[in-house]
Amino acid sequence: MLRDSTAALSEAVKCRQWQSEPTVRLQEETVIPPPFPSERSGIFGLTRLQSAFPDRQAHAPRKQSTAEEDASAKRLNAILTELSELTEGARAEGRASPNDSAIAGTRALAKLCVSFRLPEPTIDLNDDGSVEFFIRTRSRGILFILRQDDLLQVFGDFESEPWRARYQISGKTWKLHLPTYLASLESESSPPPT
Amino acid sequence: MIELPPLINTEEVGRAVWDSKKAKKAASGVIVPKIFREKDGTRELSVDRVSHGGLLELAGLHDGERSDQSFHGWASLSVERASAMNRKVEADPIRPQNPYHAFIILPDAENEEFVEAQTQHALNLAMASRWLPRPSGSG
Repeated sequence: MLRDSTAALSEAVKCRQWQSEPTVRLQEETVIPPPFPSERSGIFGLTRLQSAFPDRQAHAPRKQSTAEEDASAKRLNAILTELSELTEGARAEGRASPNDSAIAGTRALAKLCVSFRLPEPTIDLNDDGSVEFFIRTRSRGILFILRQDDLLQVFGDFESEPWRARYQISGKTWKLHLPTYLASLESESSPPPT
Repeated sequence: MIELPPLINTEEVGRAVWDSKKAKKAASGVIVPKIFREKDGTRELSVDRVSHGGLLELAGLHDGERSDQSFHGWASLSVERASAMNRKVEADPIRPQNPYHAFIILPDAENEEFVEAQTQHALNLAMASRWLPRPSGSG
């Protein structure tokens, strides 16, 4: 366990040096990476992080057949159309609407989403013009909020255990982490309870 | 005047939903977190105690509360789940109109942290909820 945690620490520190993001917080508990790697709390935190990001390579979207690609294209089109309608509606009514960065981030998020076998996401705009992108399976849900100030907030609730993370939309890290988040949903992607 | 018994963990409380788009999603099995997201800084979420009958009466009451929207139903969850993450549920009967009224109360936190925590609570509450439509024939 210690060896695994040390490896994860090394990875996390590299990530920290590469870019100031991400800050991953596990409910009132841990800021990753920990400032003092030798502390037990840091190792505990990394163990948790490692379980959240076990193997990046293992969570690339799987290859799709032609029929699946067509279906994915339709789903993507539906999501992007909804985003466009919401944005245009907000602008027409003089309400705050997402800026180019948030729109681009949402499009990237949507593209990644449809590459996994996941239920249809729900998109909405907040009063401040940020985009809410919510996707859930039976017992796992992730809420992405793409704000006008380049902040991407990610809120998760897996089997009633909450977690959250923050990224810069203009950064690269969220695009590396997202497949892991989404793969964890795909693993139990059955319709939610009614 | 109806007097309800003290709250117990197994009874359910429901958050009223007026927005037709959110109601449609909820009916398809997806309760969106925004249903449980109050304005920034607000700790109390109004809910109804929906395990004690009176749903027709409540639906009628909610119908008159928003001039531009219709009442569709509730995002409902147990008091036990509503009390997770250090939240509290307290009965708050509004006499004489709504003896079923209660509050889910979020734990306090520093300003910026609290605003983020509100969203985290909203997600947790939404994930624990099921859709309870307004009684048929009540509008």
